[in-house]
Amino acid sequence: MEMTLSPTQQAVLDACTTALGRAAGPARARELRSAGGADDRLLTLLGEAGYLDVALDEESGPLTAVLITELAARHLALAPVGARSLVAPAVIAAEQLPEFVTIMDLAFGGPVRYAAQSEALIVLDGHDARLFTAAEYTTTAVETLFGYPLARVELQGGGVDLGAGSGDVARRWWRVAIAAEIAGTARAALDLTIDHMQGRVQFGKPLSALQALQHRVIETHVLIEGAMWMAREAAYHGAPAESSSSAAVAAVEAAGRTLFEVHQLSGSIGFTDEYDLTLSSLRLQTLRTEAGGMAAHSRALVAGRWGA
Amino acid sequence: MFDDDADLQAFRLRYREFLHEFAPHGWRAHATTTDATLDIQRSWLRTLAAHGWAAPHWPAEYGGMDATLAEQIVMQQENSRAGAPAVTMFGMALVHAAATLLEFGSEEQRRRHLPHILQGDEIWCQGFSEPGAGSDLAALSTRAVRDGDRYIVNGQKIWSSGADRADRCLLLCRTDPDVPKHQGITFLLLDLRSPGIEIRPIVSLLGSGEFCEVFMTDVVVPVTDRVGEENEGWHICQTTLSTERGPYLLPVVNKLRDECAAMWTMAEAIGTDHAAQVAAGFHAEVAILSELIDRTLLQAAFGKSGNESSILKVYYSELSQRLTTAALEMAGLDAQLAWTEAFDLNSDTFDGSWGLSHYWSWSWTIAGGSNEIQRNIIGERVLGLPREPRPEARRS
Ligand SMILES: Cc1cc2nc3c(=O)[nH]c(=O)nc-3n(C[C@H](O)[C@H](O)[C@H](O)COP(=O)(O)OP(=O)(O)OC[C@H]3O[C@@H](n4cnc5c(N)ncnc54)[C@H](O)[C@@H]3O)c2cc1C
Repeated sequence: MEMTLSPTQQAVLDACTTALGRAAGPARARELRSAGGADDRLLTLLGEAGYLDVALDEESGPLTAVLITELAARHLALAPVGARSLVAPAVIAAEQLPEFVTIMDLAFGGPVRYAAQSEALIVLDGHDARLFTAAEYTTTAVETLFGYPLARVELQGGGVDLGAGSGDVARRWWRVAIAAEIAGTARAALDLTIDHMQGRVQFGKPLSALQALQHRVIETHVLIEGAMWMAREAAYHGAPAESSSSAAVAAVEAAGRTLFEVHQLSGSIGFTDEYDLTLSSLRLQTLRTEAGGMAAHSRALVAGRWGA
Repeated sequence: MFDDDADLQAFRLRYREFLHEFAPHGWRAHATTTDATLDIQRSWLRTLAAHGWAAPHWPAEYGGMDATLAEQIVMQQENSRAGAPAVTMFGMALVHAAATLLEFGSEEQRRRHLPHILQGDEIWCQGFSEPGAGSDLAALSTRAVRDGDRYIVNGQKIWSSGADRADRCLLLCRTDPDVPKHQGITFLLLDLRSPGIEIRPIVSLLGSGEFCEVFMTDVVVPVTDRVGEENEGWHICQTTLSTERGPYLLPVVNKLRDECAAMWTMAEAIGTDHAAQVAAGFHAEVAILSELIDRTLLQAAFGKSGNESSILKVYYSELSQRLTTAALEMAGLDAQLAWTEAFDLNSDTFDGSWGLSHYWSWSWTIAGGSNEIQRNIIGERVLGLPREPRPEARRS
């Protein structure tokens, strides 16, 4: 597998990093958190620059899309970049792609991320999927401590059939997207924590100098890195059943460990609203439970690997 | 050894009868705001006090019962059986402040404060941590300078739970900056209504003002409000801190039992062997914790040595994190419930929100001396391992 980025892929990523640096980030995430919405503005900006359609581009492909998803998460983007750039292009024709789209699986109850803000909803129903426009469902926002806008959805219309097997395809890409979002979000949380530990002096030296703590940071880093590469590989190979679910399993594992470590290692400041850690960390709660969480990803992995 | 003896059984029945007659019913429906909860707790504390049940762990001469630990455990069991309100908002007063005064306070201080504490007249908070002194508490720099029969205090405390509603504060200050850091600390009782104090609530990730910053500018504290001798504060605060890891944990086991039951309900609905195993595993662990607490507290002279209590703290707090994490995995995104004022974070029963219980469990591995520091204590004092290198023998 050729994982070195081509000059074009690298250029796309560099430009996207610059755009995200300007338009996303902690201040914007905080603004959106108090307003209770999602970042339409960012999604439009990314869309107009073509970043959300890279999966369809022959040279960039899904590998670039997964890298962009990860980057957006790392910059605390509050928009369904993974759903739009990885999942939707796999099941919806290019000319019909909605800008703001999210995903729900009828197999799992519970609230849906970005449902109230989306203009369309990909609904997974067993092996198949249907596309609902906003006029065909109603939403009730849920008060949440899980970092993203969430809402319960009631379907009204019938939606448009996305074809036989589209549910399975969408579900596999969804797992890749979640893995990439976890990798980016966990990375943001860990980076902030490492910064904090470098500057926080107790017992006369920075926390980062304590070997017992260093090892924990390093183990967390390895898990996040592992999830990140699994997501990239799964995307590169077109989200096969086994590697997409492996990526999701690894990522959910990494999310749990990251959550514990970043909060424990930050001490009380991590428990406050005014410190930036919760802007990333709380999102991991949604990401690790979405799409059926560990139980569903594990079952998919077993089915993908052994056909069980 | 696992049964109540006749005396304990009689004690249990006496307390049960009292609860039957006096414990309020339906109070949860009224506990919708922090103020309302405070009223309910205060009124219940007064009822307990009027019948002599408010402070079982105190000596009888100060209004307590000289109750044994076995009796205290029995009372906790009966409280949860009867669904009586927990007097959590007065915990710092009834447990921490009282333990400190009973061991190190002057007779005059005990006579002055304990009766008010017993009656729920005062809320107390703890002003130990500072921005620069968390795990390294002894590095604290709030200064108290002696000026005749008073101290002039300047500095800042942080993470002080409930300070915005408190009347008094257990305060650690530096009185001698020129000696090794543990030796220059003094323990004061601060009247929070004194001029020069500013209190700023800190919004927690739950959206609540759980803890506060306390700023002190030229605050006057009479020398008569010093606990123990000048520069003896470090030794004294160990008592305050170890109470936090001792019998205070009894209600916590109730909550974990409740949570196990709620988890089992979910596991049953999920219907897989795996879910049942997870729930059963936690049930066993809560039983272990309960056993550890009962035996450790009953057998050790807890309160004098923090060592056993450190083991309990690590076990309980990490169990609580793992249990709530597993429950969140079972409940999925339906575990959502945002902060409501009605949610009593210190309550000894499960309120139905795994999300909140889980977030609250995060604070337990940090508050009251983080689990890493507890592990250092266990390593050094229980297992006899070498001490962590202490690069800073003197204050810089
Ligand atoms: C809900 C809550 C309520 C609280 N209430 C009060 C209160 O009422 N009054 C009060 O005074 N304080 C209170 N605290 C503060 C609490 O005591 C401190 O947060 C705690 O002592 C840790 O300090 P810190 O947050 O500064 O973390 P830090 O000291 O910065 O530590 C950060 C991380 O590094 C680890 N670490 C630090 N030193 C070492 C070491 N030598 N070896 C290994 N690991 C290390 C810590 O364990 C922690 O994981 C409260 C905290 C919480 C969360």
